[in-house]
Amino acid sequence: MPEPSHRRLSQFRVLYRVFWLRVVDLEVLSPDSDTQRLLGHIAVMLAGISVLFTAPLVLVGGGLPQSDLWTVEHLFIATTMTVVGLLSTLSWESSCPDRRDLLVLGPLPVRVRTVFLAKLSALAGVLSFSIVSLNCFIGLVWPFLFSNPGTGLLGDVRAIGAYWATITVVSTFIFCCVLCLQGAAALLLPWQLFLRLSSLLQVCAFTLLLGGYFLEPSLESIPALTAPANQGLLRWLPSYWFLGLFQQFNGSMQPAFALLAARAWTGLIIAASLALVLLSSAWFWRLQRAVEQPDILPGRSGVLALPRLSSPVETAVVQFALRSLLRSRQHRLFYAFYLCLGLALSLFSTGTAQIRLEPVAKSGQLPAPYLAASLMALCFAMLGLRLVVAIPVALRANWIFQLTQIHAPGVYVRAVRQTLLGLSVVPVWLLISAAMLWQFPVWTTLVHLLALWIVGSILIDIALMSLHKLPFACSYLPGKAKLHLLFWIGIILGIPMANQAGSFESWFLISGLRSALLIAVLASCAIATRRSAVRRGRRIERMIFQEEEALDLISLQLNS
Amino acid sequence: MQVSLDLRNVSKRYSGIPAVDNVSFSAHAGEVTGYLGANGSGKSTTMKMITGLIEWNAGDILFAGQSISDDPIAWKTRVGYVPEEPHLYTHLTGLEYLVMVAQLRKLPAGRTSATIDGLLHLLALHADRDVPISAYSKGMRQKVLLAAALMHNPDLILLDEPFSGLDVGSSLILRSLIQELSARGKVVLFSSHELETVERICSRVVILHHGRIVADDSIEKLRALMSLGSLEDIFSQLAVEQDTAAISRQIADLIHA
Repeated sequence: MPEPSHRRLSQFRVLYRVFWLRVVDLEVLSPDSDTQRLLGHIAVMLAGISVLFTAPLVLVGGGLPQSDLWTVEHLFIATTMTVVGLLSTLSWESSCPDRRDLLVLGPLPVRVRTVFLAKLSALAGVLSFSIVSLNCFIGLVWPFLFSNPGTGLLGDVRAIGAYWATITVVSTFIFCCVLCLQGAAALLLPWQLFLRLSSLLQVCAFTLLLGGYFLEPSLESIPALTAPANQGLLRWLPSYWFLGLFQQFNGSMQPAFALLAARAWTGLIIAASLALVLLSSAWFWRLQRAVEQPDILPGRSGVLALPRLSSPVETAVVQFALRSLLRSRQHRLFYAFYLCLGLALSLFSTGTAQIRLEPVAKSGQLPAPYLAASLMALCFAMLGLRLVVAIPVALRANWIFQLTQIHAPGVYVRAVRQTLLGLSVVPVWLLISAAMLWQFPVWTTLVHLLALWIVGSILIDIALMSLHKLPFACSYLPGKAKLHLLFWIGIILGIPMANQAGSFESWFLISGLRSALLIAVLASCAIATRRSAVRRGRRIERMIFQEEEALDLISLQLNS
Repeated sequence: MQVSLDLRNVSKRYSGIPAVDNVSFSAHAGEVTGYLGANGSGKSTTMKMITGLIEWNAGDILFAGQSISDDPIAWKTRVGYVPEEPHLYTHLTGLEYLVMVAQLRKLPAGRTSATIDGLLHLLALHADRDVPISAYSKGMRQKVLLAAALMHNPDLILLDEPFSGLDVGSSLILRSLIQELSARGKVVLFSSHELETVERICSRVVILHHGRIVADDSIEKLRALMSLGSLEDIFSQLAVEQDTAAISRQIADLIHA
């Protein structure tokens, strides 16, 4: 007997709601956090970006030249594309059936296609929510400037419509591209290999999106768009295709945009068709059977020798943190996000990418942008790791750390220091060392690397002043932690400061005496912050394992 | 002096609601004390207070005559705990987890390595020692918890539903192990819903109902005192409020309707 359609619809609604609430897996964060609140935070953050992009218009007013308007249009399209891409990548597994779904829903009379559609719709729903948040101010104010001159109110309305239509199409395109990648991987690879490579693919997609956003060349002018030398590049830059599409929707089409708009349509059709075919095939043919196969194959003991430190507690904490970072997709991704962002921003802001190809004079001088870029990369790695270690892995399992807390808190603080050092400063410093020693004069580079190491040490001691918890072992309240806000403030303030620091350092590195002075000053700062961190560590009574909400009411305890 | 765990008028309240209310009892070395109660009666809360995972609001907990709050760090070196739920770091392998616990407890590396290896062999986990815990069955996870609780040779062993998920063979081993450890002078506090097992291995029982102790004696004495044949009957009379037969009838009627 065929199933009544109203029953399927009600099943779809129930599942849609469940999957919507599960796009972000909060179980790993904190027992006190909730999805609605987290989505609220994300919406506020994106709306904040929208305000940030709209404010200059209010301050400056209109009257921008056409080439600047194209730059702005392209910026909004590329930003939306990146945000949607990043969110799709962040919710990587939300479009695939997981073992839990199959085990819970398998015995119930629910069709696979209902589950499939509910999952995709929930994911699309969350993404739409983000797109609206990001464009809520931009999409209502800027289109007035984008409208064709002399078209009046009708032109304004058309520009608003064109803007939102382009944003919708570009979001669909990037969402479908991410789904294609997942579908192809799930369809072509054996299950265990898919599970292993899936996280790598996710990080690659992440890097590509962020790198593309920050390092994309600026071609928003007719000569640049029509130059034969740029045609090859434009074929691989979809944000420009959708700039062309916006002109088509807006009625401001010029011949230079025609090919781009055509590419946008072609790209959308190909991405949507492939996504539909690949993901649905993967769902119905491969992923359904995933429940019968083990998720993880046995590993081999001692394949990767992890570092052993002088104290067993330090060894335990550092190895636990390293394993957590390597094996937890969520944490690895967050860290990759900050690393990529740091790297891309440092390259972008210092102009290193542009001067990279210029011949470097072997005069013993290090260019200030390189110094600033390496400093920025180190700071981002440090700050990113500081944020990531605050997010727990298997929160309920942290009882073992509480139960085995048989040492003075100072011992754990030392272990946390080693973790931060080993997972952020050491790898980034080694990479910078390899890159710089290969390209620049040895002696000056060594002084810079020493200075960089000391700065890393100072940053860690500063971070330790507020970090009284073991990495990945304390609950995390998204609403309470101000760290992410600090990160963005750090970006805004840190980039000019790092550039300034690069110039200063360049001046110091000119002579041996000045270099010695620089190292002496930095070393003094390092010793002072180290002492301060040790003193604070001694004052800690015990490590924190549960973030607590700030009390709304503060008792004055007058009755005690 | 005989070593014992003593709870004296211990209370724990959550937002003013008592989870454990004025509980006093003793568990002695050389005997297995059963700690029984329905779900939500306060058993696990008591266990967590004894381990130091949560603090109590009133009363005191003593071990060998000394309050455990005097030196919480030293106290933790003497306790082995198997929690009710097998919460483990599932991204680690069984071996990695046990090595981590040994390092956190600062046990000597050489001897501990042999101990862990032996425990893994004896608990039939050796072949799966390099498999992530996420792929372990519930019984295997329970064995990891047991190994982690015993590797440092604790004086007090707290077992909260330790038989959960274990197969018959492993359950029999654990049953003997509990008795063996008790015979070697350990204080064992054991909580379970399997009353037959409790009856077999416990010398005495403490029964908790709504956070309060309703019985604390040897099983023989309770049987004689209440003129009841089994621990199940005693427990039903003291800690089960519902008419079980009536409820089962109602459930059958409900799904039949």
